[in-house]
Amino acid sequence: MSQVIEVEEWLKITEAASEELVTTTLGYEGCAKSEVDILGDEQKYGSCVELLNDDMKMTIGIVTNREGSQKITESLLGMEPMSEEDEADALGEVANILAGSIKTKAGDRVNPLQLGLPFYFKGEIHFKEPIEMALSHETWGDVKISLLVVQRTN
Amino acid sequence: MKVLIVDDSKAMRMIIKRTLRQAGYDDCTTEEATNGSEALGMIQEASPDVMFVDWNMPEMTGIELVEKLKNDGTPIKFGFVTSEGTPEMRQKADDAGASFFISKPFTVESFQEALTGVIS
Repeated sequence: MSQVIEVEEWLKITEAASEELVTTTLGYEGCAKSEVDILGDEQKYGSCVELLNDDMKMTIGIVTNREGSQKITESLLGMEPMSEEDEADALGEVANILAGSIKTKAGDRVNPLQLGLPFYFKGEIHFKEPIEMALSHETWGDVKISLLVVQRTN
Repeated sequence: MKVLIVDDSKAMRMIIKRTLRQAGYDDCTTEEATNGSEALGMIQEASPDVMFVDWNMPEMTGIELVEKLKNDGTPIKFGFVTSEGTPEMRQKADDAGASFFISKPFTVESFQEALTGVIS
């Protein structure tokens, strides 16, 4: 039976998925949570993926800075990124793996979720529809990260 | 052993190649396609023994690709490497005739375990 999961709980699921991703795929020792927005006013780079079913539509994402984008790509590819396209692809894959892990962790608490294709962004991200948003901040090694969960409210 | 990796993400194609090497399958030769449609066009010439297929891809998804191949009676072994790790997706993969199913995020060990008996 499908439950209503609040945005803050989705964020907790996202944090658990992040811990798994960071240790298995990126090879860092783990995530260190931060109580403050460690990215501050830095230029943002990130990637998001939509998860949706008949009852809900949600976007999850990772946000980092220029250096973080390069370091994540390097960790994922095992080599320095050759282009911004490599970084977009790598951040997209990270968001995709995170979304898949969230879907698995949510299990049968919600109706089956479908994953969209990842999209890369640079700068701020805006949503046209009414939303509820939850953010948490952490470091992956020395990479500054914000995890983003956006739930549509209409 | 010829391997065809079908994934729209260059990063993931590189990770799969690296993990294959780390898992001890370093004598494989690999070719890459960025979606199911491109893979279909390559199969005759590439004649892969095994295909690693992503689930969600633009143009032609992984499941559409393997269902097409199954209908054509292909002898190629295939499996999914995907973020879609739910039991329903695994069942769909099984129904389509997949020889293995690897959920992301994966480790070298989970790769080896999934490929035991599939790649010699």
